[in-house]
Amino acid sequence: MGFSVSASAAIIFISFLVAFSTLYTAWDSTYSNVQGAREEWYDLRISQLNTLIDLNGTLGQATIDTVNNVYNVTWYIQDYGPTMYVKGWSCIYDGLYKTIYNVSDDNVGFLEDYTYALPGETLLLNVTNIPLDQTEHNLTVVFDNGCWLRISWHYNGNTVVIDERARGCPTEVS
Amino acid sequence: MAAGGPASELIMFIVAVIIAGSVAGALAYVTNDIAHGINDRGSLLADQLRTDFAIINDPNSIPVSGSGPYNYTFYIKNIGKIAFPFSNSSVQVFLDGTLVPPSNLTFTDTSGNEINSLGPYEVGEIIVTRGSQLSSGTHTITVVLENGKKKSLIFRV
Repeated sequence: MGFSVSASAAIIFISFLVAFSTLYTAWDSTYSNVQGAREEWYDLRISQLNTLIDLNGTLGQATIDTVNNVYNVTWYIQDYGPTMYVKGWSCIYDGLYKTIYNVSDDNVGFLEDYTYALPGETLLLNVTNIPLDQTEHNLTVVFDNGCWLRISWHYNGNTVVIDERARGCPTEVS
Repeated sequence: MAAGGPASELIMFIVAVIIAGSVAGALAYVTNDIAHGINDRGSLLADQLRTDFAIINDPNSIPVSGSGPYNYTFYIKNIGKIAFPFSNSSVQVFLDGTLVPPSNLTFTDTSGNEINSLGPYEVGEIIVTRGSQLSSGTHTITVVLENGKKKSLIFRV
């Protein structure tokens, strides 16, 4: 009788140990996984809070080509915030998505092959072959963290004038 | 009677071990079930935290093509750390609060090729096909991913 009780008590005790160990392993790996994800979530939010990219000056450089009836604009985009990963940037020009790395394929692109925008660095972004009329144009540069810089401009018959520029970041909805 | 003592001891021992083994087995089953639940819930939570996206359209200029049906193009940028499913079976789109049927949604990359997932930093297109044109004024599009992450954009037509 005594041996039966000892044996069954030992089996149940060992099963409790195994159960505890299984639960602890599951909790530990889940905790590490969620903690890692939480840190990445905070990194993104902090990055969005610190992002400060704007035009360096009111206008970069405008070149009027009256022979071909087009004009080109080079925007001087300066990073006033932390280092940004430029390869992750996108752009919307007059409502349409454009590749931002090659100016020859769709008239919008950087003048150099940038990988990172360091604090204080100025990036030159070209918009070329804009019809020489007084239509307003819009360019939205979307950064790797979802924040954006939007510029609106038009040609007034003599020069290029910035109508509006704005910055923002995506927000959560519930 | 003399043999009854050890025999009953043996029976008692076997019964005790069987009962203890059953309890241990049930405990192991329940524990494994709970452990799987913890892992699944943790993975879902981590997945939700790592997933993020933005609707990057110019709200004053939504590209539209066609003259009935009308195709409205919305640009989705993955700003999270992991790829997420990007197809009409995994993403729901609400236009002014009304669910757009999956058959009226096309998911492509920016070159127009159909895709099923969107990687970090990538931009994809959701083309919403409508029989009628959107009325002029402000509208709201809400995009909901498979894991419940959602974003809205208020735009003007």
